[in-house]
Amino acid sequence: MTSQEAAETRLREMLGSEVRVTLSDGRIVNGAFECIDQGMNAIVRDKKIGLVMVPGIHVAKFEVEAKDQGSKATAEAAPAETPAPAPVQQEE
Amino acid sequence: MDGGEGEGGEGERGRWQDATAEVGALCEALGLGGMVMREGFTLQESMNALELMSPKMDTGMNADAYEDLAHRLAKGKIRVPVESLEELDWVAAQVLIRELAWHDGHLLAASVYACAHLCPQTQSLLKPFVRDLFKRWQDQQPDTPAPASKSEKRSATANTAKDTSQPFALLEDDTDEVVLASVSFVLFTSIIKSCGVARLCIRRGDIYEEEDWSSQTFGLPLGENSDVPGTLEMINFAQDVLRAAQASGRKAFAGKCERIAQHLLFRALYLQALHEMLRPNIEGWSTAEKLWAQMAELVPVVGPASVSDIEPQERWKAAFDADIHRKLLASAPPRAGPTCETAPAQLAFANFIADMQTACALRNTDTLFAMYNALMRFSRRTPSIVVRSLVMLMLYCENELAMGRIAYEGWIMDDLQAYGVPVHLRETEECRNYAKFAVKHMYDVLRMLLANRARQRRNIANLLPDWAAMQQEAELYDHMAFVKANPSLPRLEDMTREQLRENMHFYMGSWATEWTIRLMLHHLTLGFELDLYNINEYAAVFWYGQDLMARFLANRDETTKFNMELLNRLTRSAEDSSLPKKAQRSAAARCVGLRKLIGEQKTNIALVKERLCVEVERLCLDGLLRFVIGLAKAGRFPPPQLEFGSDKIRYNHRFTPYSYLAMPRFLPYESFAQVTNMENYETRQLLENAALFLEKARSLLASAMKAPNMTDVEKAYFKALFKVVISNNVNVTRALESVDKPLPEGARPHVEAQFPSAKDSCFFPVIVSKE
Repeated sequence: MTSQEAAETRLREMLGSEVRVTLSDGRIVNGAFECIDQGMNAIVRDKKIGLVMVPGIHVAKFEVEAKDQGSKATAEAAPAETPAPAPVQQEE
Repeated sequence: MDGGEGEGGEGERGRWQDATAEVGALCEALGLGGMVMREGFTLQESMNALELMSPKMDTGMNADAYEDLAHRLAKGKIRVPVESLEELDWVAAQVLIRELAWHDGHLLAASVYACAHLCPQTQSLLKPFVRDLFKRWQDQQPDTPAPASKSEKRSATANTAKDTSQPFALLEDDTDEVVLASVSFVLFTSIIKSCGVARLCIRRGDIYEEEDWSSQTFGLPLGENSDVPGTLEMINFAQDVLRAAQASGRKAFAGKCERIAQHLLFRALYLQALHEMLRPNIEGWSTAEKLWAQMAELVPVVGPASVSDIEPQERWKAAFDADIHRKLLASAPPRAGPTCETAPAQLAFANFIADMQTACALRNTDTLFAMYNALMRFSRRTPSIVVRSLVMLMLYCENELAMGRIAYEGWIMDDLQAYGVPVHLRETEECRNYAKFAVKHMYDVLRMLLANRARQRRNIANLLPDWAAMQQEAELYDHMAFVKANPSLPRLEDMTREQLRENMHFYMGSWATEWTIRLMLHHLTLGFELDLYNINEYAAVFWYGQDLMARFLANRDETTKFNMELLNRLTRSAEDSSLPKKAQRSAAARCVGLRKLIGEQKTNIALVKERLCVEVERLCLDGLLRFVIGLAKAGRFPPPQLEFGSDKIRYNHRFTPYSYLAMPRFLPYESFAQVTNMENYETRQLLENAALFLEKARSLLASAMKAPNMTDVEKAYFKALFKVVISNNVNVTRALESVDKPLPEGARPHVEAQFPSAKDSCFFPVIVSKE
């Protein structure tokens, strides 16, 4: 796999997850990661504003959800396992 | 969006992991144009995204940190005037870098006027320093004789050979600050004026596209209607001030006076050269050529690299900011400012001067075909828009003359002669009328060559329907000219097919076909240069290209063959005593003309070289075609990713511009599919044939490179093509060795096209098969 392909694969893994982007003027954009290009120009679906594009030159910080927190959150959010249905009694 | 860093507590902070460095590195690895997006995320959706930190779209951005020029001057962040000649030297070089960036398409406000020293506010601060000194200097100037015209009233040429043994008693109790202010005011004014004249050249040439150059000035002054003689006078003044300061032994002027004088000299020469080149009928181009030669000597001295040993102070650097006119630029499309690196800028500067010299030399071109070739070579250097605009002015001077002296109609008639149209046909009014008809189309071809490389391809697609019309008109004129020149022959409609074939040739139609194929081949090869083709399209492109080249050669051969047969018939007629004396004499006269024409064609070096080039390139494409089909047959070619459409749709889309033409006739997809049907061939046979064709190309190139009369540019091109042919041959040999071996388990076939000879303007690919 070339380095370009590896980079594409890794970035695709991040797509859809929640990210927090701090801009150069201090504002923070929080939302789903939609798209990014070579110049680090990122499109994020902010919960309050909708789709925003952050120019790469104004990205002061790019944060992703920490994995263990994410998986813990997922575990807490996941519905409790439902018990297996009892086998249907064959009516004779 | 949150307004600041006031997010939640420890839990919230622990939720986030800083991935800035990782994401930055991954993005860089994506490569040019690389992008990843969530599945289902469309272009239409992305267009709705709000762009943050853009003054146009983001009303919430924190712009408090931004200071405009007035703020920076008030706070003393920018020092006006400059403090030393060393600072002035460094600033002048930085401005030159930005001037070249402006030529390259960056906004004026973000490039040249990114220098605070050029802005009207700072220039106005310098005026009080300059006023008195300039008046004193003017009063000391010797009286000049009455000028020939108003524009020469205060005419002054560059002070290259002024007597410096008696410096003017110019400086009285003027401080160093006054002297520095005067010199820097003049230098910056001359920079602004030269940008203004350059803008005038570009607008007059009128060939720029939006990606070439931005015409917007955002209200910043350029002084297009400037008084070039007046600016030259000011430069003389500044040079005299420098000499006076140096002669007076002032410490501040001990070191760098000569360098600043050279900056001033460069600006004077530059202004004069552009001014001369704008004169009507290229009257001033021979003067301009000498001026560019002088400037070429100054390139190492005033170029950006000349200040690389100077360590700039922070306050010097503070005077340069691409964002300095952010409020002005709020109305413009968002665009990053230029990256200003010294080494590329020095190269761009040297190339700019060299291109101007080449442009001046173009005016000596005599024939239409020579001009076409010269412009093709010139275009490959990707000259700046300023140079291209001036060449455009040269091609269409007043009275519709090229280079102020050659009528296009006459040029076309000469080209028809060189092609092989006999004199008895050229003398007809029909032939002359056709030449008149062809003027606009031929001018459009030359104009097309002055567009940037990408636009040339688009422009050719727009020209081809016009050349289809040229071919249709040619058929009519050929008929009429033939009838006029051969009144003794039966009417065309009474002639048999054999009689027609024997007696009539579509000379003008064939000439138009030859030029059409030239355009089509240029269109095709530009696709390689611009990397437009998907690897799966290469077979179609190679096939179409080699077919076009075959038809180019056949078209010319048919005319030559017809002329030879005509010569034989006329010779027999001239010796046939059964014919009336008048007919014999007429045949004899035509023989003389035709014999001379055929002789001239054989010794026409330009046409011979073109033929050789086309033959070699055709062999190369033939080899490459068989190579890619062989790889596909061997399972070494990845299948095309066709989410929408098919091979046929892609083929038709790619070659649509050629479908307007009758000659050469359009090659439909079905023909391509039939010829390249892999079932008709064996892999080994294909690869062996590929090697054969490439070897023929190699052999022809080897002898071509030794031929006399080859220019350095032509030799370099053949050498580059030789490299491509050898590399392809090696890859074919490797493919032959591994053709019978299956691909390793899990390996995917991968074929790519490389362009190792692109820097020598050879865009034929090297096909590389990998796993």
